[in-house]
Amino acid sequence: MKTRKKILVACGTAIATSTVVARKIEEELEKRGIAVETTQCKASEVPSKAEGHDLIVATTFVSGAGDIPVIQTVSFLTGVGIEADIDRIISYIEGA
Amino acid sequence: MNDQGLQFVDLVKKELVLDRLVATDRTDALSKMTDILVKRGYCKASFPDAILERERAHPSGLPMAGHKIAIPHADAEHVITSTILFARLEKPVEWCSMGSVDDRMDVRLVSMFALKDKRLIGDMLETLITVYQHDEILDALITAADSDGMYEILKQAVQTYEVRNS
Repeated sequence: MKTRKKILVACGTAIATSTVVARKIEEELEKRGIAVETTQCKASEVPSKAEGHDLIVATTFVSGAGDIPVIQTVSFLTGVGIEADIDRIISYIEGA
Repeated sequence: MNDQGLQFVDLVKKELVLDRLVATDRTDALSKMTDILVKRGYCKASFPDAILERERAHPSGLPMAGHKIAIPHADAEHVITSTILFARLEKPVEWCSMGSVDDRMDVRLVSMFALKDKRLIGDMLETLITVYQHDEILDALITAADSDGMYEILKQAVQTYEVRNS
């Protein structure tokens, strides 16, 4: 069995938007038979928390992610463009 | 309140659904809304500055497909009791888009989250964001006769799209 890919979800405060984004990502990937592990953090915590993750999904600008790919999107909050972002997430984690 | 988390009636109070809030700009709207939450004891005196600072660093406007909505919020340490203050502004004000400060949008609906424990609010938060993704609901909130009407629309929409994960 493949190990679960780890996605770090970052937003401004790590209390509201990242909670929703993390849950939506898990649900959408689960529908496609992909199980992932998500962790939430503040955008400012990305440099210290990025290590060990396969991908970072952020609702706001983040820096200090090193070599880890970052997808900046608000689609999981607005509902606009979720499919395209899920495809991007899958292409990153399948390639990771 | 129980282990299943906070429910709609726990989080959204009729008296915290405001209609025709007069605001000259986004900062004025945020200040008037945070003042209410502090005065009514839901938030600490540090909440207003935290909301304004967060808005500067990470704007809270959501560029939905149709009507736009802003979801200002701040760290849990500034909150005493979790609640949501929902306001329909008398006139739209310019708001910056989350993730892109350069994108501006006109906002009339503001859903201010004062959140204490995200473990208990995850389901309701996800439900509300899902509700806001439906333009026909935002449209109904924009055209509702008064704050009672807005409250009923929110309550009904939450029942329709309720998420139960935990």
